[in-house]
Amino acid sequence: MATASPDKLKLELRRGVLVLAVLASLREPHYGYSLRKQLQGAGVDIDEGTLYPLIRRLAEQGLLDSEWKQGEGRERRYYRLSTLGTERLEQLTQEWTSLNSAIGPLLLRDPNEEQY
Amino acid sequence: MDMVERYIAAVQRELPEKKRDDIGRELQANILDQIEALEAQLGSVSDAEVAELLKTMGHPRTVAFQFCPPTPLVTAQLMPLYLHTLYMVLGVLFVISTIEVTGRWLGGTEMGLLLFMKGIASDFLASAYFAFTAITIGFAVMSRSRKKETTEVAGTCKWSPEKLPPAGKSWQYISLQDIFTELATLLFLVMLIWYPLWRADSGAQSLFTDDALTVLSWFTPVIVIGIVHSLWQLRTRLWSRPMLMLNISVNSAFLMASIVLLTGPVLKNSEAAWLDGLGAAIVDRSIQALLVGVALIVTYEIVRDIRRLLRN
Repeated sequence: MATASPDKLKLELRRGVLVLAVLASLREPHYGYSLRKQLQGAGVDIDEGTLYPLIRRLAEQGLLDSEWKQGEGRERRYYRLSTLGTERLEQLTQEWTSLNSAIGPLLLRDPNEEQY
Repeated sequence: MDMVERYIAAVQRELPEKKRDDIGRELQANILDQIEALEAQLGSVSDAEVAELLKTMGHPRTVAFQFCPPTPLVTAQLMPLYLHTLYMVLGVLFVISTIEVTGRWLGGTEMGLLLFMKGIASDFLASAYFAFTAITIGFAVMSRSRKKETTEVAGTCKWSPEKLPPAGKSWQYISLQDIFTELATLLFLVMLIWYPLWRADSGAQSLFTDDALTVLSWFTPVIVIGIVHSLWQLRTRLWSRPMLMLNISVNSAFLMASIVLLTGPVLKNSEAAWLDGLGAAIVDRSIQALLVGVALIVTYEIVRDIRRLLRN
């Protein structure tokens, strides 16, 4: 029997949630590094190998707008939510809230509680 | 900075051409941001620290892979249909190769048993390479042209639970490999028996003694039933009670024919080219061993099918 490692399970769980976290953070414009710092500050640790390709993928899907800007002597690419991204974020937030309220009690249930 | 440039160039080499400049530009901006943050933290940054930073980012190929994951030649949605097509075509090619090489062998081409087997293998491989390439390219083109959003597995759009075959034991499923092997064997036998009739214009003589040929000629309808049965199996792919009973009957006929053939000489003791220097006695003994092998295999299959019938 193949057993899933804890790291793999954690990765699968985080994959969808990270999209939500990135979209929510990009209500305000950010470049890659500043976004990573913002997420880390909020307690969402994400390595650059995951974050930078993820932002590009979301931009390719039309969920983010991007533009190159000069600042502090060099250029940076800034991303922010597009109109489509804002719509999708609202839908995903509803889904997240609904899932969270359904799964929360399941996770907190006492295993010794009587089953029906 | 030279190290950063070399790193970015190494990543870009692994990327598709149309994305190289854009990803390289963005990667450079991200790396410079990280170096800047290190400088703010440490005061200045040495080459060794830049090298360490780049190492933590990963091998250039890994980074390129993260930005542009390679797309498989055949998408996951088309994979079941691709494999099914591949097995079917390769199975048919194996049967055709058997027929072709048997025809050449019986037509007088000098070849011993080993050369005959090698002939089938090389003929099959030659056509299999082409078929494999053509099918894979065809499915690769289909994979590119299919809408990216499609998650439906190909060939699954029209189905209903009512039309699904009944749930059965695992042995009920007939593999394509079994069907095509049986089909090739049976067609080989028919060609062997009826060769003189088939090539009457060339005055070809049968390989078998008159007695053996009589037995085999009477046995031909059973082989034809076996061929039709194999073709039917290709359609249904599941053993049913009538199919099991038919298989028991066909195998019983094979067992009887093998026993009858064991009682006398099977091949003419001529200096036929295909004997390839082997003594007639050795050939006769080999044929007898072959017949015993056939008898044992069909006995096993008869017992197996009877047990399946009783359990089902």
